Amino acid sequence: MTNAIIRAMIVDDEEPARSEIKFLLEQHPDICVVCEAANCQEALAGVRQSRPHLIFLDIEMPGVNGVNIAEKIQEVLQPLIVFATAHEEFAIKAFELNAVDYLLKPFSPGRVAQCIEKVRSLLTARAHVAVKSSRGNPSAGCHRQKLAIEQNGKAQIINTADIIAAGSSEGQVTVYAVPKTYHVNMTLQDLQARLDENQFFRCHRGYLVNIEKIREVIPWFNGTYNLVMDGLAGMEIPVSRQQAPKLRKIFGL
Amino acid sequence: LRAQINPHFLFNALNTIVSLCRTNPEEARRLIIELSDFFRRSLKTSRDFVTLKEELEHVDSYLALEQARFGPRLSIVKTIDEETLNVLIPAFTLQPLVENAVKHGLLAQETGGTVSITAHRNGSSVDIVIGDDGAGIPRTTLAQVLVSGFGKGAGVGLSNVNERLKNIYGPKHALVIDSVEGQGTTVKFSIPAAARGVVA
Repeated sequence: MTNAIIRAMIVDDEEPARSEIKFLLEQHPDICVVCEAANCQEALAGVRQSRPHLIFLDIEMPGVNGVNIAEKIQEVLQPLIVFATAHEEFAIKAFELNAVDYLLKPFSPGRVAQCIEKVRSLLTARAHVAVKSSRGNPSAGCHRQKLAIEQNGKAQIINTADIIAAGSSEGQVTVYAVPKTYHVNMTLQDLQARLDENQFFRCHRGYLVNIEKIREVIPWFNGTYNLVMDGLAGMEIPVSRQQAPKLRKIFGL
Repeated sequence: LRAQINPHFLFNALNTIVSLCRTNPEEARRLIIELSDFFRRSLKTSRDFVTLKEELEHVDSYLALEQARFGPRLSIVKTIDEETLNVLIPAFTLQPLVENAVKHGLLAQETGGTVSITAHRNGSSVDIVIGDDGAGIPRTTLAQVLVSGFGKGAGVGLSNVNERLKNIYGPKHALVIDSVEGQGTTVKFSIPAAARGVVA
């Protein structure tokens, strides 16, 4: 993550102010300014489209002020927010919103560099958390009854007992759980490593099932099987020939 | 009286100039001169009265800096009778009114707008009107803007200008404010054309 590109967005209604912060940010090769916005609507559209990691946000804007814009942005995405403004009195509110930093205009290159350094370390820490939740090392004492699934920048915690099955296709893993289905950014192998091996069975290269949720085992061709799962109507999960003996062993077939 | 400088105005102006030093150094130089003029006048405490011409120069310095910040969102129309330029007016009367029109009227809306400054001779007085086609003042606020202490800005507020005009020239010379929400605001007052040497 050290040299990963940080996608930044600038929100300020004054063109010279945008130009200046852009210039200062571009002195850092790992920062890429992906979007600029002059008002609240542009800011929200930019966040949806460009999905920035980091937003520099002016406080005093026409109509809605920057603090309110930050609140609206956080409903969509959880980027790191840096307030960039001449207004010191908003600092407390800014930190209530978990702003990363508060830059006073005009900003010195040194102060901006210090801010970027803080942003880098926070993003690296976030990435570690994400990797941990996806590459969970079974020996590291992970909670086997809970699984963190990253969605919209937040970790959604689900009970592993609620997982019915998981399947991978085109590089994405779909977790079928009660009551909802999740798409996660991890491999099936990573997911399996994160789960209790006595409860979850890798029945196929592309599938993983919760043994407790298997309702019917249907013999299929060439020694394979199909599984009907509880709570997964209209879908059968295949068991490969390689995995079939293990299935028979589980149920004493 | 000494004008209090709004720190936000100062730092935002400096931020604009910092940016222009790279992109348009000539413009940056011009603005540093404007900012210096603005400060020099603001810090002067010696005179209670200045000519309308001097007060308008102070307004011009202020507007030059705001136009650099906001670009096409801010336009200015001035209609000044030549013969009014040497009339004496209390120092720091016009600039706070123009600043109010710009900040609360025009920049409250994304599209900005136009501020107009008019001065014309009307018999023995000079009528001065500051108008904007901005956000307007809500009815409930309108009653309060002339009450002393209204507003949170560090600058000279409307109420301060109003009090000084009334103290110097009498209650007939108070500010007259007309505002329609969504359409704009005009602030009018008149001063005697021959009011030289009036002691505040």
